[in-house]
Amino acid sequence: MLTIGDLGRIAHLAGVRMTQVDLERLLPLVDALYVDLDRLTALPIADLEPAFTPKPWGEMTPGSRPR
Amino acid sequence: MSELAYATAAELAPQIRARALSPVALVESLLARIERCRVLNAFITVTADVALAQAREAEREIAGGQYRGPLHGIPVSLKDLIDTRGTRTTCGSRILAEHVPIRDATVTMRLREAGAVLLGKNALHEFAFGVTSNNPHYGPTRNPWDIDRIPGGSSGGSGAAVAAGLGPVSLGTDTGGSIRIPAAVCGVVGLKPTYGRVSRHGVFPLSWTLDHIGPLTRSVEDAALVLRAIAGPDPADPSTLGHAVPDFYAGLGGPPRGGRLGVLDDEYHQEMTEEVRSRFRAALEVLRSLGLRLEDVPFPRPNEARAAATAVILAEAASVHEGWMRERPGDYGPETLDLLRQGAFVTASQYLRAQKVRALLLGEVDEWLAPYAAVVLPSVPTTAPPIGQRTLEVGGRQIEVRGFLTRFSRLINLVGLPAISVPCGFGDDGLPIGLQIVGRPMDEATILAIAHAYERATPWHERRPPEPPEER
Repeated sequence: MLTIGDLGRIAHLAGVRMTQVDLERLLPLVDALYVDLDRLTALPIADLEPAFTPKPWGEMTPGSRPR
Repeated sequence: MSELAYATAAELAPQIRARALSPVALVESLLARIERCRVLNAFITVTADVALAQAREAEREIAGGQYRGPLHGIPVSLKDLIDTRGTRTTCGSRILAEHVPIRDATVTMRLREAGAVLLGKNALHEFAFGVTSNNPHYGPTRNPWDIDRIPGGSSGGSGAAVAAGLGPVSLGTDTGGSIRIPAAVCGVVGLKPTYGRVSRHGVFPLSWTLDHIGPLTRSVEDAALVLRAIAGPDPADPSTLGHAVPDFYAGLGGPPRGGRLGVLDDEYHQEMTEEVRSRFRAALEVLRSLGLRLEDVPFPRPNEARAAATAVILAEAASVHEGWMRERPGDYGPETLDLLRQGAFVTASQYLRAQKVRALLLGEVDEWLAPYAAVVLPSVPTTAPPIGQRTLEVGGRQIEVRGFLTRFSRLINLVGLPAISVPCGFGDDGLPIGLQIVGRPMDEATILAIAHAYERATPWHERRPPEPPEER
């Protein structure tokens, strides 16, 4: 569970100025986002490299991708 | 005038080629119509002088026997985050309100080379980061079918302009549905090509790895014509693929009879209004009557895909805007600034996790799509909401507009597949509804063929919105 203090510290490190009111408004949104992203750790991704772009099919014939 | 305003590029082209229709006269009539329809707020900048000069040039060339092809002399508009040399490109923002690019985007250059005529720059959601096109700096863009409703977004000006007969073609961008959503809720065609099919060079980014550029048009034929003109490798954009560009227009021969069509059917994709569900089911019957074999199919891990897509767009957008967020936060609208600030809280570890989930999904989607010519689902789970409305009631629950409108489109951006939205009916309130057809990588030809066959079998694309009032 994130706190206002956590958000304030991250914002400071990121160089983004935010008022207490801004932080309070964003807290539930960022908290929900973190919960969603934490759930992704349950997926079988430990051995995968990040894809970065959705084009691993490279220079192939239309309609298929390399295995 | 009305017939000319609603003619498609494919209908106009033979008349222009035969010199039965003057590109100058066409542009003059559209400029007058744009002026008369100002209440829609579909344009941020109208490039009347440029348009007339280009139309005169097209007329001279054609008279001299130098016909360039089916877009020669055809008026087009561009979402106002696509660079146009010498014409301001605001991105719907205050920050870039006076920004005049010194170069064309690759897609702008390709349309110029095809002989198209630039009518102007279409309104959009601020920096393309939203789906309402309710812009804090330039005012709300209005849906031609009901001017108190949103036109969708972020390419809302493109959707409104094409739907209202303010030119047959506009280019938009799509990061989470921003071509398909306005196309669906404005009752026009919107095509998001495969990631890498069309150059992003000179187009202001929202999220580098999710952004796509494509046409909004009044017919599938026109979408095919425009895609052929703008697609192909570009040394200025390393993400473009080297595939040859097929003649998509010539390939509109009809879908493969007996071909298998997946129908997205899982818990995530069940959430839609009853009128959308009813029109979508009717569309499935039409597709069945065209000889396609329909089979229910679930999308792999839709909720996880949605979370990953959210992390990617937030983090990349925050990176794009990092400097301005620090130095000029007061120059953003509050909604955009809140989203950008949320992106600043996505950690490197979370971003990389999301991109690993994308790697996982790419492999799974490969297998998911393999048996099918394409997969279909509604483009948007509702009709256009009223301007300013933040939540909708669906099935007794209050749902946030932004998330709901992108529900059926944003997962497709994460895996980079081509997708097209075509009109598939009208809701009880008389507002348009869209059918989305998703294809295999680099196989725009198949989804265009299916969409074209569906369009020919249905009357929805023939309906026109009411004439907007001159003042509101």
